[in-house]
Amino acid sequence: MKPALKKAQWLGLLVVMLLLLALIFMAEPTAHTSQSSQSLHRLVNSTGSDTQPGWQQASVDYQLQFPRDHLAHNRFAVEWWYLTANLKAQQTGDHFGVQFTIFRRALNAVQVGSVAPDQNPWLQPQLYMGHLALTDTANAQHYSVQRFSRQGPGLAGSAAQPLSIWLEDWRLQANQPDQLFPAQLRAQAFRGQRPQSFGYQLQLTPLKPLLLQGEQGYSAKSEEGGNASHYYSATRLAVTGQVLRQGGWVDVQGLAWYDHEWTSTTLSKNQTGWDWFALQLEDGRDLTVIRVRGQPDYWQLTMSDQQGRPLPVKGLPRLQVLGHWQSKDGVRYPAHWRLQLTAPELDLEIRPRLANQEMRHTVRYWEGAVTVSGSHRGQGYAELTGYDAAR
Amino acid sequence: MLVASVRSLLQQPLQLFLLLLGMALGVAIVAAVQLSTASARHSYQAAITQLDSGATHQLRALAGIPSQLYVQLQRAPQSWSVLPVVRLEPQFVVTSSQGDSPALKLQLYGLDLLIEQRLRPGIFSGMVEGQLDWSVLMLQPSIWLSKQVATKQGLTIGDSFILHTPSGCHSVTLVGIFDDSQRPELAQRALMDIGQALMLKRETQLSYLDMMLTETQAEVLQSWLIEYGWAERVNLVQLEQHNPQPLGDAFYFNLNAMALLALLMGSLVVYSVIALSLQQRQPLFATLRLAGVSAAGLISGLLLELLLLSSLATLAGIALGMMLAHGLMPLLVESQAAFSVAPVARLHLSGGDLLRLWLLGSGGALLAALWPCLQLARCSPLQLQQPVMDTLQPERQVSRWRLMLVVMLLLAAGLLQQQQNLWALYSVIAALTLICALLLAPLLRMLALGLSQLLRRRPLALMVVRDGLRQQHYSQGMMLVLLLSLSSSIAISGMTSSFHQAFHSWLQQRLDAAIYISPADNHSGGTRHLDDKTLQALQARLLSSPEVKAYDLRWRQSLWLQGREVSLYSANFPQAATDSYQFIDQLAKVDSKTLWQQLRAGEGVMISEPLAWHLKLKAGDQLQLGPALSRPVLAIYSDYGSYQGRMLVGRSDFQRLFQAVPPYGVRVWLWPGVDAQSLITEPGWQDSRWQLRLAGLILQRSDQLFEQTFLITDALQLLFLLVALLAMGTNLLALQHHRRTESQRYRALGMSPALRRLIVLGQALLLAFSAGLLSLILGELLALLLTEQVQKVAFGWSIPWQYDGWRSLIALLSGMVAALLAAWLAATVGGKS
Repeated sequence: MKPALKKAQWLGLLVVMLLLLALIFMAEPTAHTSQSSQSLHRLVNSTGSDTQPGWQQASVDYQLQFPRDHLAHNRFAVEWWYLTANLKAQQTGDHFGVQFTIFRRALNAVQVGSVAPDQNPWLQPQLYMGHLALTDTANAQHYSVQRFSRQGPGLAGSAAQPLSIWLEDWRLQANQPDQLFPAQLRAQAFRGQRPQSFGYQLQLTPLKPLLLQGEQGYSAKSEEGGNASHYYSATRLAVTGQVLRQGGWVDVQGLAWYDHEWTSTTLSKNQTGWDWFALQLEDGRDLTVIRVRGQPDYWQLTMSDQQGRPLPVKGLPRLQVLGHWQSKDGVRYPAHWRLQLTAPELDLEIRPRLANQEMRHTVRYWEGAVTVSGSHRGQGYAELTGYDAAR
Repeated sequence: MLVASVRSLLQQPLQLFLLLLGMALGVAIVAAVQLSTASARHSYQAAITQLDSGATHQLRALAGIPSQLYVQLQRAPQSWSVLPVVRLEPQFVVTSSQGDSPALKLQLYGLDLLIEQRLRPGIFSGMVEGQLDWSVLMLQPSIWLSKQVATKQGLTIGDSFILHTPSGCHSVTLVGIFDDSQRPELAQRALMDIGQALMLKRETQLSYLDMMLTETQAEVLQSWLIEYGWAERVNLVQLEQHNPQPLGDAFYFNLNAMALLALLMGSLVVYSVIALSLQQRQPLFATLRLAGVSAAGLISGLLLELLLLSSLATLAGIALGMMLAHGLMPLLVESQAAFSVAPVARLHLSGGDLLRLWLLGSGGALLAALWPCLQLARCSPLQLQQPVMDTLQPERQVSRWRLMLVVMLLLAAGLLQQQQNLWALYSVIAALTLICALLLAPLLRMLALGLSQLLRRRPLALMVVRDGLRQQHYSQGMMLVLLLSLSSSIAISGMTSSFHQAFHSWLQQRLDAAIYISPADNHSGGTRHLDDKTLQALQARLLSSPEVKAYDLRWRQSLWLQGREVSLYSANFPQAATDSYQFIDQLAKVDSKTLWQQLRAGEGVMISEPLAWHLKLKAGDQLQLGPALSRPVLAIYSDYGSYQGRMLVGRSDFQRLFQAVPPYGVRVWLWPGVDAQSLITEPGWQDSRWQLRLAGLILQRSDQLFEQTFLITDALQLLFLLVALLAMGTNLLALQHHRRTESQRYRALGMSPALRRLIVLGQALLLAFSAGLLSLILGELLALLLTEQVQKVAFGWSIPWQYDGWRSLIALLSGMVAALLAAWLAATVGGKS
């Protein structure tokens, strides 16, 4: 009689089963790991309130001095160092937008300064948050990451020798003593050559002196007073360097804008957010437009000429929203503007390089590269805050 | 067809019961071992890696990690993933109106929660109450506790309680509770902000840095540490190397090997019962085939039938295994506690585990039954009508076994090329077992021939012998079972008793002092030392006691050597303390007395055997202890106290390495005739600042611990013997069935049932004796290998194999009793059927 099944088949089956058994036995049980995590949003939102007494307030009498005021002002509740840039790839001409921001938030007014650095620097009540973004206009991509750190024993902060502001390995550092610019900026999100890696290493050279915003660096944010910050800018920095995009470095050059602002007050009750424009016109003039939205809106305009000297700006501007962009979850941002000024006479049309340049992190806002056309051509950056609350 | 087949099987309920019981017990042992070891391992791993999850490396330093190094790493452009950790083991007491609650020991982790959130978000899992309020966590002494501890202590969010730490008592506020109901290993865990933890510790140094690195990144980091001058102060440790698991691994390996053997026994039961059942149902199969059922249909039906039965047996086995595992878990936990690990005894069973066990049980049963089923399929309907189908083909089996043996030997030879390979040794063990299995038949033949000569004038006895020899290819299964069970039992008890003897005599020698004094187990955490005041008081006490002959202070610290945490000991090493050390290797032409003098003078170090084994050192080799501190190895001494390794250094070297570390203990020698027990009860000896331990009590406690550790192997051996008994019983049952024609013939000749039973028992004794003899040799050979080779490779220490005649005798007798029981069972059942 013939075997019911071929012997080879049975042998094969036997081998497979043996292997299966061996595998089953040898396999280690997998560890159960928890995937849930707490929201850092809650953590950040639980930070010390800036309304508590003890914070130092911005004062119109305060005289900004450098290099002292390049450093952190720990007795103020909040502070930020901001660098935005419009860059062009040297070989392809592709446009890149760069945003590098370090925020500082003091946690407790009373305890600021109460901890001696040599005692336990881990208890310094200063929290830092970094935002790193890259707009790859040619590929219609906007990348951004957020990072938190305490000041600790030197994890984040600012230092005088050499002048530098950093959050871990994200760093803006002066090339010379006592002057912040020329400087180097190095920051990278993710590691290795992963496709989603991005970052930049840029050399920043000043083309104009520092510009004190508002009244000699005192930047009021409402008519009634009290709500104000200290604020200065380097409105035009020549940039050369490299941008990391999709795992590859690209040589770039272009223009950057730097801001440093500190305050202990936020918006007043009837204010909902602000629209901020930092525009570099092709004729060499630079324009800062801040509209704090409220009843009524509060405006601050600063303009500098080709040499960086302040230019008088008269009258209120007219900012007309011509179009909107809506995020997938329904937050609606203005995305196309007409800006009109009477003196100096400007009629500018401002458009985002890319509609989606939203920073969707612990603090949600829109910050993106823009182009300027109309009576004058130019480029710049716009920042729109407070729109998510209206959703 | 399936219905007819099952009905036929049901007509033999005892066989069915044996089949199910054999399978169930086999699976139960595997399940018990798998579940309990996996659970213990899981809780162990979870306990030590809960906060290390994802970390591949750690940066450690003897005196802690300076914060500056951490900052430098975070600011380096390489963007390494680094997490700082501060560890404390404080106790806490809740003060309430009813009085203080009992102190609880907590494992306190000080973490930078911002970095944790980014790199190890799992830390935030299971928060059930409270909020992550950064300003509160960072600025106030606040803590998270497990739900179990919080509930037990009656604490709710916002409550304050006292933590006892080395720096004193601190009030902390409960701000968060995490759920540990599914993860009991977290129960003793407490979390704090790193800054607050450092405040409690009153130190600025971090305990260690967890890192997540690829191999390339680790290499880059190593270069970076050298470049920036950190390499001499810190060690980059790969976590797998750091986890002190070789003992645990070898322990689990042995348990699993035993469990697999049990499954093999279970498979032999299945094989025998299925073969027997097929023979009994042969007429039914012949009829089915004649009625048109194809061979493939017949085989499919049989396999389906077996699948149903094996699934049933496997489920029963898993249930039984879980019950057993509940019993085994405390033993395992005890054994792990002996290895300085404190896991939580909680059975951990996942759906995957269940599936694995079901596949293992059912798959094993199907595999075991495959051969008889295949043989059946090969038979034509006409052949099936023959009285007995020859399901076994011993010659072909033997040739296959020989082939397996060759493969085993080749494998062992290949693996032995690599030193320190446990698998090579286990291959040798498997090959030895196979050789003995192949020798079973010739041995039985030789024994039978010898007995035939002796019993020429006793026809009945002669019949027993010759008949047994004639049926040997049927009885090989039983002999194999006996060989496996007895030899493994002898081997394991041989290894444990040799280890126990070696350990006991080593400890007896090493505990040469009469009294051991250490700091009291107070509320402080971390390494305990005798502070200056305590030491002064203690020394005053000792100096004023005329009963004290000598005393010696002892210092201890950890040192990282080539990625290994080594315990470094120092003392003045008086003559009384040096006699107990046995050197395995020492500098040539230097006597022991001179070696000790050299050690005291700081001219070299002495290292334990496990350390020498792992670091591949011999006497005379140079050892780099620290920056610009290199010493020769004066001698290597025998040591079973730590498989990680120990080292003795002179006082000057110790001070050079660790500056002013206070001593951790004192050894006290008494004059002959002084009773230590009554001495320590005298006034002035008992003090709340220190604790006294007598050498005898330490020895007694060590023995208890050892017994507990290896109790689990004893428990398993008993179960193992039970399965072996079943396997032998079913084998003999099959044999009985095969010779039922002969049996009828004996009955026709007027042989009484008692006489027929006597023949079966006699044959079983003969078989058991043959297999038992071979088992004794094999068992002791395996014990020798396990003791002298496996232990050395796994732990680095040498243990001399001790022969114990009683062990062999007891094993042989228990094997024969089991065989007789099995034979009685088979004869009774076989006679009835």
